[in-house]
Amino acid sequence: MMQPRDATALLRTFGVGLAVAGLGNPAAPAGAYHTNFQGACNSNGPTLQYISPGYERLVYAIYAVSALGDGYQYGGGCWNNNDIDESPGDPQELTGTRGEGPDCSGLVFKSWHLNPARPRGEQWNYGYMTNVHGPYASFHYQTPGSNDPFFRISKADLMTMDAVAKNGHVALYYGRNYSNNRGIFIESKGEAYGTGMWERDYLTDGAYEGVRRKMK
Amino acid sequence: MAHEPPRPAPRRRRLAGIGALAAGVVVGSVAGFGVLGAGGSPSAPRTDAEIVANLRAPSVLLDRTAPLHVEIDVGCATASDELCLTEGELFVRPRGGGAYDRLLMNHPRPEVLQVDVPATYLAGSGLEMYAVVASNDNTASVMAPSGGSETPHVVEVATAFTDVALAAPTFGATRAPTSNVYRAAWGTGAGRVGKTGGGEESITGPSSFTVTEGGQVALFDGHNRRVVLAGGGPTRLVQLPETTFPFGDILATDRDIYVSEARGLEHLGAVSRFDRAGRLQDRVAAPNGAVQLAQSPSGVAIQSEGAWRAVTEDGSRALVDVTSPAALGNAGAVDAELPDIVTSFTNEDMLVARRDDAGGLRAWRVRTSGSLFGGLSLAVPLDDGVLVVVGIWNEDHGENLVLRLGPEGLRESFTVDYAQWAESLPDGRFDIGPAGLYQLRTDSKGAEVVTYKIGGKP
Repeated sequence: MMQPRDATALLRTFGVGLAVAGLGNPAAPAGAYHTNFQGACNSNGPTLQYISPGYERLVYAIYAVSALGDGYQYGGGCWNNNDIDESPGDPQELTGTRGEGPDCSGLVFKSWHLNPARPRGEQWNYGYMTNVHGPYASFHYQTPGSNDPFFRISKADLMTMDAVAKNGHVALYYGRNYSNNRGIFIESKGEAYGTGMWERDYLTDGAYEGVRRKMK
Repeated sequence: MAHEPPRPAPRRRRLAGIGALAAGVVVGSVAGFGVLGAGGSPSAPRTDAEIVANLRAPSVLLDRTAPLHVEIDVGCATASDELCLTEGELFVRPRGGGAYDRLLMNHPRPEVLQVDVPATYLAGSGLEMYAVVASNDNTASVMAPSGGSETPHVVEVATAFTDVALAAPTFGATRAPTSNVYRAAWGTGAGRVGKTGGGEESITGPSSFTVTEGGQVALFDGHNRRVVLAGGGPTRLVQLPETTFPFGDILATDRDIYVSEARGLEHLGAVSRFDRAGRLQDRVAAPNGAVQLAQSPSGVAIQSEGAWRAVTEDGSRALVDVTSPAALGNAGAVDAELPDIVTSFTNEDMLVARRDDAGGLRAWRVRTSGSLFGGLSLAVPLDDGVLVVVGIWNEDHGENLVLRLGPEGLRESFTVDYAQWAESLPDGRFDIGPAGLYQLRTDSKGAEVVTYKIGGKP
């Protein structure tokens, strides 16, 4: 079984995260970038985490929800899980601004507990403040190779915490709204929007492919 | 035989279930500090348990003889990260008022609460319900929907329905636009329209548009912080404040322009009213998640967590504060009008129901073969039926399916391109107006609003 401590901590962040469902990040004051948030991040390596089979998706979801509200940083991968973007107003698509938050592919990498240097089925845990993005861009998620720790699936088979990816964006699938049939996704959307949970039409968009993390 | 052009219903974009994360499907609510239904400040120290409760229930039923299954996904943790167990109660009453009855919910699994509502509650036109989920130590509780008895989740029973079986779609045979109302290249100068993103970011463009009764198009160009007014004369630009969040809905009347913005944790959403010259008239905070705007006979309303709240009062164009309705009397009160159109999806079916003059629902159950339904973009009354725009897709293709439904069944159907190179608000891509169906499209060069004539054969 999953360790009780893991379960409770993750449930806490799950609850906080869903409180921001459907919202964008606040507009940022101009010129407030270069906060060097990443200066407070660390490079602690991942630790091997035992997750009972069947609990992986819950763990991934709760980890991804921890990033909601914590901003977006192009090429980034660390956040402090206080639901506030500490680096608002960063210019777009610049890795050197050292702001808070993951980008879209960094969020997927850490949420999926990946470690490209180790066997694929193992689960590796990174702290929120570990500044790691991982080697995969959205294009890699869209077109996985046989040795990658994820593989393509039909979008009709999406389950919670699978992903949809195109060349340019990747988002984690959470569920479905039964009133309008749109998918609900957790994603790092961009500097103006931050990381959030939104309804999107990615299922209808033919550019997106379904992707699933390999599990034991 | 020539077809008379369809007559659009009075301008009234009101659709149940459209919006950010709608009530009845996902209601993210956190209550701490022992205050029932209150949202805890994310930056304040948490003193009690936190709960998340996501209500899952349909909005339309075709069969009132079967019990209604209701589930809630729940998670609960204490301030010290201890797991807390929950108990749930569902309060339910037949639609139309009266006292709520309490039904105890049970846990089929620790993270799920469920109950079957007896069919007797559905003997009339439907029922209203809300749930209260509390931690076992009673330090926290939440209501789902968050408004509780004031804004309950409504389940309606259709009084008649028509089955519509669609043939397998032929992807790639989309209809060409009839006309182009507006076209602009990406950019920031006059005559251009803004986008953001590139590299690894998803690209977003104009978030929404609307068509006035006079046929003018109002486009919310959020990244340039302005509204574009096109058609019926020279194109005009209405500059919005720099603080405007670049994504939201727009509604234009002949005198005013209303813009709603989604905002983040520290800031509520906002609704602004401008005159047609672009002068800001007033601006008020709005509940979290309030994105969609609609105009009804009683005024302008916004949707928040599935409930509509009036932001203008009868006879007035001025915005009213909707953040504390209890303190403001009727101002910002929940709009009692029910949506014109109610929709629900199952894995196989799309249910679309239109309210008739007597308050009952006429429904269509639409099935498609060879594809799957995607997201719903538009569902509006049209003549004595409805016009629906919904995504359809398979592994290789995705398009928008336009359906014109009448009491006898399918009147017309065709497909149009998905045309979302730069993403827009799902609710903001289609509208109807004097020229028929209008679509906001984007490609790598820019954005445009085009029209499609409607009124042909199935």
